[in-house]
Amino acid sequence: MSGRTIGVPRALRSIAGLKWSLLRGGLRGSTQQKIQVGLSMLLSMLFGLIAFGGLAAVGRSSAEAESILVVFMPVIVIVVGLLSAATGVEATIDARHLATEPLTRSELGIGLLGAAVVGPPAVLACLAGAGILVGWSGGVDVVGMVLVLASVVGWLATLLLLSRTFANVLGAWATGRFRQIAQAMATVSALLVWLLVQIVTRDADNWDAGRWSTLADTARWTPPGQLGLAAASATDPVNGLGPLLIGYAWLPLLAWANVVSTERLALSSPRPGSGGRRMRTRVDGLRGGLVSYLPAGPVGSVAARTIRTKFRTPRQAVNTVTALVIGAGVFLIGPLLDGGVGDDRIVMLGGLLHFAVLFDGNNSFGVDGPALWLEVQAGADGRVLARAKALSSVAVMAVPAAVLPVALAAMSGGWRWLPAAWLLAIGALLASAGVSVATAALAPVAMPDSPNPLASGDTGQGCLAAVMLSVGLVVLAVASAPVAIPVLLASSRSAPLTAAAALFAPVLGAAVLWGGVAVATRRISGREAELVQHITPAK
Amino acid sequence: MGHNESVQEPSEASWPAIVARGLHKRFGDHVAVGSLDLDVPVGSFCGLVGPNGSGKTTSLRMVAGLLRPDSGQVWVAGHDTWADPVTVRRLLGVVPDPLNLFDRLSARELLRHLGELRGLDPDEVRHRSEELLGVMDLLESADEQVGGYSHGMRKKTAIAAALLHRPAVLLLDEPFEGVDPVSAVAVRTMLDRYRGSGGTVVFSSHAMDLVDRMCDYVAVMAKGGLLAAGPIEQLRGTGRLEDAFISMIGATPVDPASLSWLDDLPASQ
Repeated sequence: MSGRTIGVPRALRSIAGLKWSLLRGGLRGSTQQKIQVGLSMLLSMLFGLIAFGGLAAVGRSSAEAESILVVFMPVIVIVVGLLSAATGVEATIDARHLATEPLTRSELGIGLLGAAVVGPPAVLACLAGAGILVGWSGGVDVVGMVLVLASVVGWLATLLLLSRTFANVLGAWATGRFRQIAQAMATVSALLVWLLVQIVTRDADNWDAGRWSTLADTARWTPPGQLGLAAASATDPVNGLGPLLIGYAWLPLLAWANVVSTERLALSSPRPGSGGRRMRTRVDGLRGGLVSYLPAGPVGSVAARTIRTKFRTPRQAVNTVTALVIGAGVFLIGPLLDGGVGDDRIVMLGGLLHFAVLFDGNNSFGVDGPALWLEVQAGADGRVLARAKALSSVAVMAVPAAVLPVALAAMSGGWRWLPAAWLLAIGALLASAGVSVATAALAPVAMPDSPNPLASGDTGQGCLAAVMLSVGLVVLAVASAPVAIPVLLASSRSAPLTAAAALFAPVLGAAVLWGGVAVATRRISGREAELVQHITPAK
Repeated sequence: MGHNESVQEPSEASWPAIVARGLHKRFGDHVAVGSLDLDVPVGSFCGLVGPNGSGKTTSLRMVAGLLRPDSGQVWVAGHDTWADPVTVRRLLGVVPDPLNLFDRLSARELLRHLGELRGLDPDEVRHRSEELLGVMDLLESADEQVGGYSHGMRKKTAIAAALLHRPAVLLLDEPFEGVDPVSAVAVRTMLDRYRGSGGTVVFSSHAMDLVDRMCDYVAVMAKGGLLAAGPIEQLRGTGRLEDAFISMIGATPVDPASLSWLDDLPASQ
């Protein structure tokens, strides 16, 4: 039957062409799509050029160039693999959409790999590869240059194969029996990348030659590490040939794993949500437990529904947990890594969950999806929706904001700072909720129908979300300054004085909250139908 | 019933349940609905029929306030959908296609939530919810998340949600698609009763026999425009509605000579 298939080259051309058409369609689509695709191209180029310049400079001038490359290549493979697993299979063409096409396993797998090469991430990777080529080929002959080029190509192939295989495996698991495991792994992947960045940047001053050398001794045992070793041996190509072959040796195995995992993914069920499983809810309904304390009426009702659906939807629940771990972890990671707390004033930082609230709530309309029309139809206008989303943000983060300062006080013994910490926490919570609801109304993003908890959907959505998150953090930093500066000054004198200075925090927070809700209300009111259209994912 | 470009408001003394004037919606180069004028009398059971892509769903979404028209106006019981949306939403019950329900709520939770949003008395919401769930045969699964429901169960949940506040006008997009025959009878009985008490029902459907049986008023759409609208007896004449419909849209029967390649099975089979 082989004569009946279209063949690998044609499948590759066809599927990669499809990806190209989708990207071009994005550029011709709505303003938001244009911004998303344009932004992702711009950021990929920017980060790619930074990587290019950085790697070229390190390769040319650093005394530890060899060790750095041997460490860099496997670390980037791991990071990109983890990020691909976290962001999901929808970032490129979903294999499940091609399941009914008469393609062989190889045609589908290789075709989708071709599609993954088309797009902004590939631009970034290629620029980084070019940086390695320029950096590590200085003063070498043609054979040496070929060796570096072959190493870079092998590294890029490893990046591609491993990242897509990770994404395929988790994508297939996320629709089957291992749904919860896959969702947990996707979260853990994202958190591991964050933890890695924290560890690396925290101890940046101690990155001397000895440490690079020690790390390189470990990294060289990996295939990408061997590719790094090969590239770093360009001045002596004979010595580099062995590592190059070892680095390439696992590529056939990776390619096979990729093709098999692509087929598994294509044949897995694409059902979103509960995956067709019957899941009972509690008899006390939406208003049970802590949610019963929310005010009666439309605002409280939408807020209660938001909180319930958030914690019943793995993607949203994972998002909240990730937001909390990263948001609170910014202050806790230091004491945890160092094994102790130096300054007991750290207690005051515990409730500053600006990042957590923003990360959790900056797409609070988008995560509802098109079902939001039900509430709009039932009379929830822009004012109700904006207030409800702000209320739900405050309600969800209130408990951690109250508890974390206590935990830090217990770790540091700085109980005297607790009153100020709680006042600051209230201010931070209110202000962040205000900014997050404004962000959510200004740039609502449709979420894909996916069981993957961190699926990002269309190209550029992640970039847009990151930009909005950054803008939100800058706004909060500026808005918090009138409280932060007096509190910082007072904290060098006494705890009571600091608490007095912190009294202004809730007032300022309430003002920012009011402003954020007003912006969101103005943006949505009378345009509720357009909001629902914005957050309806394309089919 | 014309196709005027200009908007002509009806006289306020005799507001029909729905009035659309010059409704126009374009998606890119494609005109989904072009200058639609439509009056649906109060208390009627109106069937909106037309081939695929004729603009039925787009029209219903514009009437419901779920899709803003490029031009034109819609009034529901005399209230402008886009100038007075809150009042119109209070007057309407809507079952759109696709349904888009909150998958992580149970049917019971969904009904109570919507009741609270609409400001209904909680005891009344509880009473109505249980009755609606019972009639729809959803009581057994009322505490299961909607995401696990079959298509028909989701449809019945949406119909229950649309009826909960006893709207003045019901807009239903393909309400019987995917609903089992027993439930369909229950829904039809419910709709008849609702209409009998003065409610207006507008529903889109491809099922001509259903429209023939249930409706007293029909609007026929094709290529984004209204071909005809009026009492069903007037439109179908002495024949069947289906024949009148095919004749109106000018469909040509499939030429038996075309698609001859369908006769050749692949060699491997």
